[in-house]
This record gives sequence, C-alpha cells and structure tokens, in this order.
Amino acid sequence: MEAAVSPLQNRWTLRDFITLAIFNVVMLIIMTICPIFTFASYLVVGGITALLNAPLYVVMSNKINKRGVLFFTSVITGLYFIAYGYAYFLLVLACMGIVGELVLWGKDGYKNPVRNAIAYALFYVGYSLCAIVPLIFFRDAYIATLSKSYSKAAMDKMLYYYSTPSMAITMLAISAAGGLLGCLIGNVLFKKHVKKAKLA
Amino acid sequence: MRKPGPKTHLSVLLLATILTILIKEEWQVHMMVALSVVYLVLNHLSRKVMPFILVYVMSLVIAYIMPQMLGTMKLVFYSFARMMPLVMIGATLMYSPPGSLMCVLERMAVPRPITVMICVLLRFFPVVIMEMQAIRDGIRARGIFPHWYSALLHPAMAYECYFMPLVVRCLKLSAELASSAELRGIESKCSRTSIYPYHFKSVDAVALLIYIIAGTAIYGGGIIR
Repeated sequence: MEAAVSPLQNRWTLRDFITLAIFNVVMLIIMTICPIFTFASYLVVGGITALLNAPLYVVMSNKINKRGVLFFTSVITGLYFIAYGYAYFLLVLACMGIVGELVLWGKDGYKNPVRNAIAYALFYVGYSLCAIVPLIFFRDAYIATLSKSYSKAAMDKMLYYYSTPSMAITMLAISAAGGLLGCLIGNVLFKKHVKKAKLA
Repeated sequence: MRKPGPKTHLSVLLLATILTILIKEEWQVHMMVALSVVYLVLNHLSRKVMPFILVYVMSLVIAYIMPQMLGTMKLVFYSFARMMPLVMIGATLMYSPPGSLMCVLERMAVPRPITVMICVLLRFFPVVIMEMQAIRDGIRARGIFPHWYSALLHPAMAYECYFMPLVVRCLKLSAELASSAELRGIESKCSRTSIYPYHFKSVDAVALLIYIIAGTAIYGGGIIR
C-alpha cells in the first residue's frame, strides 16, 4: 500500500515557487513560438510544443517534487493566455491540471516517470482542447474573433481541423504522443546530465 | 511630479485586461495603444514608447502580409498586437522597483509566494530571452552548427545542445535567485517596508480616473458604432 505523504514534505518553500516561475517563463516563451509549426500542419502544433517543453517540465517537476506543480503550471499558462484575450484557456487548462494532479496523487508521483509522463501528456491534450472547446460552446463569437485575422479559405481550413471529430481526435492523440515522447527524452536527458551533475 | 505607484499600475492592468477581452473592433485596439502611450508618458517612460509602437505596427503588418499557410502563427501575431496595450501597462510594473511592488502586493494581502512568483514572472522574460540568445551564440562560437541548416540536419543533437544548457541555466538562476532572496530576508515574518512611495495619492486617483473615462469611451464607442 502506498504510504501517506506527510504535510511537511508537501509544503512549498519560496525556493520551489521561484523554480516554478523561472521554468514556466521558458515554457511560455516556447509555447508562444511553437504555433509557427502550423506551416507543417495544424495537427502537430500541440505535439511539438509538448515535445520541446518536456525536458524543462521533467527537470522542474523532479526538482520541486511537491503536489501542485502541474496544477500551478496549468494556471500560469491559462493566465498567460488570458492576456491574449483567450479567457477559456484558464478554465480548460485548470481542469486538465486537476486531472493531472489526480494521476500524480500519492507519494513521489512526480518522481515516477510513467505517471509524470501521463499527467504531462494530459496537460497537453488540454492545451490542444483549448482550440476545440470554444468551437463547441461559443462557436459564433469565436469565429467572429478569428475572422478578423483569417481569410475565408484559411478559416475553412482551420475549422476543418478543429471541428471535424476525426481531425480533433488525431490532434489530441499527437499532443498526447508528443507529451509522452518528450517526457521519455526528458527523463533520459535528466538522468544523463542533471542527475549526474547533482543539480536536482 | 510624483509618478503613479504600483497600486495604480495593477488596477490599470486589470482594467486593460478586461477591456482587451471586451473590445472587438480594430480601431478600439489602436485607441487602447494610444491610451497606453499616454500612461507610459505619465510614468516618465517616454523613451520606451517608440519600441512598443514599432513592435505593434510590425506585428500588425506581419499578421496581414503573412501567408495564410502559417495559420496559427498569423493568429499569434494578431493576438500579440491586440495584447500590446497590456504589454505596455505591464512595462510600468516591470520598470517599477521590485521592492515597492512586493510591498504593495503584501499590503493587498496577496500571499508571499504568489507575490514572489508575480515578480519573477514579470522580470524574467527579458532575462530568459537573453539566456536563450547566449546559448545560441555559444553553440555558434564552438562551431557545433556552423551553418543555419546544420541544426536541421541533426535535430536530436540540436535538441540536446540547446535544451540542456537552458535547463541548467534555469536551475542555476532559480538557485541563485532563491539564495539571494533568502539572504535579503524574504521569508521574514515582519511586515515589509519600502523606501519607494507606494501609498495611493491624488496623482494615482487622477491617472486611474483618466484611464477609466478613456477606457469607457473606447468601449462605448464600439457599442455605438
């Protein structure tokens, strides 16, 4: 049976908050740059973002190793996208953050590479869902906002990817795969460089 | 004349966020940028105005001329241009002394860890971008990827060469910053004081009032049209 986690072990220190903030700044910069991969396909953006951010997440979560790392990361990401005017990102990402935390529940959840990878992949499934959720709940308002920066042809192409169920499922699957693969690579790099140098 | 304090910056940032979400027309975004320029000038940050305007114009131009195949990236540039009023108001917070900002947040009963996180998030964007550029320059100086396409030929190596130094720098930065903050007594239970003025004075009220009136006019103009 899994041992209970002592409250002291899970108490966040100021050092943890600073680590979380600095790593999140880098992850947000990468998240902002990654949409450039739409030139390849809309389907791969979430997956590539997950793949690139994974080493940072693996090191951050192993370094902090306290309940709430993924949830706080989700909330910070959601708040960042509010500044772009996309308030629903916070809701979707916070929900996925809670689901991720449930996956990581228990002792040393963040040190377990498999559970950590699943939770991280779920977070990026949520990130990709952020493009689909507004089309389900506030389709007209969302299309009106997008129409200011898209031509009719580009809009139709984008709607084809985001509102066709098979395409949406493929996109979510690619995001999950990117997250899992990224965590796998992240863990290899973590053991090869960070752990060996006793940095975390 | 005394500049508006961090309390006003935070209130204006909140108002600007709400307005950015509410406004729909492009001319309203232009007006919001103009209003933010006035706010920056009021805060003695006239020198920072020009780069922001240039970035705003460039983002709009890129968003319009960018080929449609770049899809979401086009939307990123458009959203970035829309976000410019927030970036400009946020700049007033970035250029405020961290001590005064932390003092204000503490007096607003914001938990200390959140206060520290807000300060780090606000101030570390430029630092991290500089670190990324330093890593890129280091890779070039060592001749690891001599040509612009070399990284594309060895993506796995490029991934490791770029991300591992970045991870290590982040770890070092967080350790150094945390040690420095602890040494300066960040975890002290005493109430924080600041040598910078942070109380809400008449100049803050005037700045906030101007912003509310102008913001309401911009929003109202959109409804009337």
